[in-house]
Amino acid sequence: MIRRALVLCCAVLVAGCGGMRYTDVAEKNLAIRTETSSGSAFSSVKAVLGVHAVDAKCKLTYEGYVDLDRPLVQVGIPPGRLSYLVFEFASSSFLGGSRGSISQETLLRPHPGAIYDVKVTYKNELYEVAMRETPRGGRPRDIELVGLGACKGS
Amino acid sequence: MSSKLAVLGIVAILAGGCAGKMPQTADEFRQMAPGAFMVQVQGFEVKRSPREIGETFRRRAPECLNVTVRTTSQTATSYQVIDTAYKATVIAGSDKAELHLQQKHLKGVVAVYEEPADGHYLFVVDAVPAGARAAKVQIIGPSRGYDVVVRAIKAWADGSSTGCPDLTKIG
Repeated sequence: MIRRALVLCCAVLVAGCGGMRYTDVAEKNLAIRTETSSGSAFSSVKAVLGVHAVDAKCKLTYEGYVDLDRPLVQVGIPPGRLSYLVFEFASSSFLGGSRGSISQETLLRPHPGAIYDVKVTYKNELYEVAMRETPRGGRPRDIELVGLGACKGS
Repeated sequence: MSSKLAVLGIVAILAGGCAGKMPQTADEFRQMAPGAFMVQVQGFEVKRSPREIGETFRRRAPECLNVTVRTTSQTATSYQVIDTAYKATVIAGSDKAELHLQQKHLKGVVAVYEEPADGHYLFVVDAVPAGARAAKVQIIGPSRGYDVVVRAIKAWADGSSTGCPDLTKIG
C-alpha cells in the first residue's frame, strides 16, 4: 500500500511539472485555440502549456502551467522577453493504466502590441502546434516553432 | 504494457534478422526487412511529386520524429519506465525522397544485437516518380504497433496533414 502511494505520488509530481499555475501579464497576447480528441472512450488526452523564462545564458526558469482545457484560452506572455513555451499533450488509458506525454516546444519573444494565434490540435493520435503572428497594424504571418537549441547565450 | 514490451522486443529481434545481424544501413534494412516476421511493406500512390513529398518530410520529420519519449505503465505489482530516442533522416532530391526512422531504447528495453549508433532501423520510406506530379510511396516497417507513425507518414506523403505522430502510442 505504501509502495503504491509512493508510486502514485511520483507520477503526480512528474505529470504536474511542478504543479504551479502560470501567473500571466495583463496584456493577453497569446490566443490559444485547442482541439483535442483521444479517439477512444477508454482514454483521454489533456493539453497543457508550460511557460519558462529564458535568461541571457539560455537558462530556463519555470514559471508555471496553463491548462488548455477550453476551446480558446488567452494568455499574457511578457512582450520583449524571451520565453520558452512547452505545449504538452498528456494521454492516459483508463484500462491499461498506462500514461504518456509528448510535447512541442518553441522559443518566443513577443513583439509589443503583437497578437499570437496558436492552434493546438491533437486528433487521431496526431498533434500539431501552429503559430501565427499579427504585428500591431500589420499583416498576419505564420511563424516557425524554434527549439531551445536556437537560443544563443551571451 | 506486456503487449507493448512484447512488440518492442519482437521488433528489435526481427530487425536483427534470422542471421543474428542487425541492418546497419537503410539499404541493408531494405534488403533484409521484406519477408521478415512482423515486417510489412506497403506501397501506394499519391498525387504529389517526390520533390513535394521530400519537402514535407524535410519540414516535418526532424521536428516530429527527432524526439525522446518516456512511457510509463503501472499495474498493482509493477511500475515500468521506457525511454526511447528516435532519429529521422531525410534524403530529398528532385526524383526521389527518402525518410529513415531509427529507434534507440535508452532505458527499459535491452538491445539484443549490436545496433547502429542512432538505434535500429524502424522505418525506411521511399517515394519515387509515378507519372506527372505523382509518386509511388513504399513504407517498410513493423506490421503492428506503429500504426500512428504509418498514419503520419501517409498523411505527409499525400499532403492531408502535417501533424506529428504521438510516439507514446507506439506498441
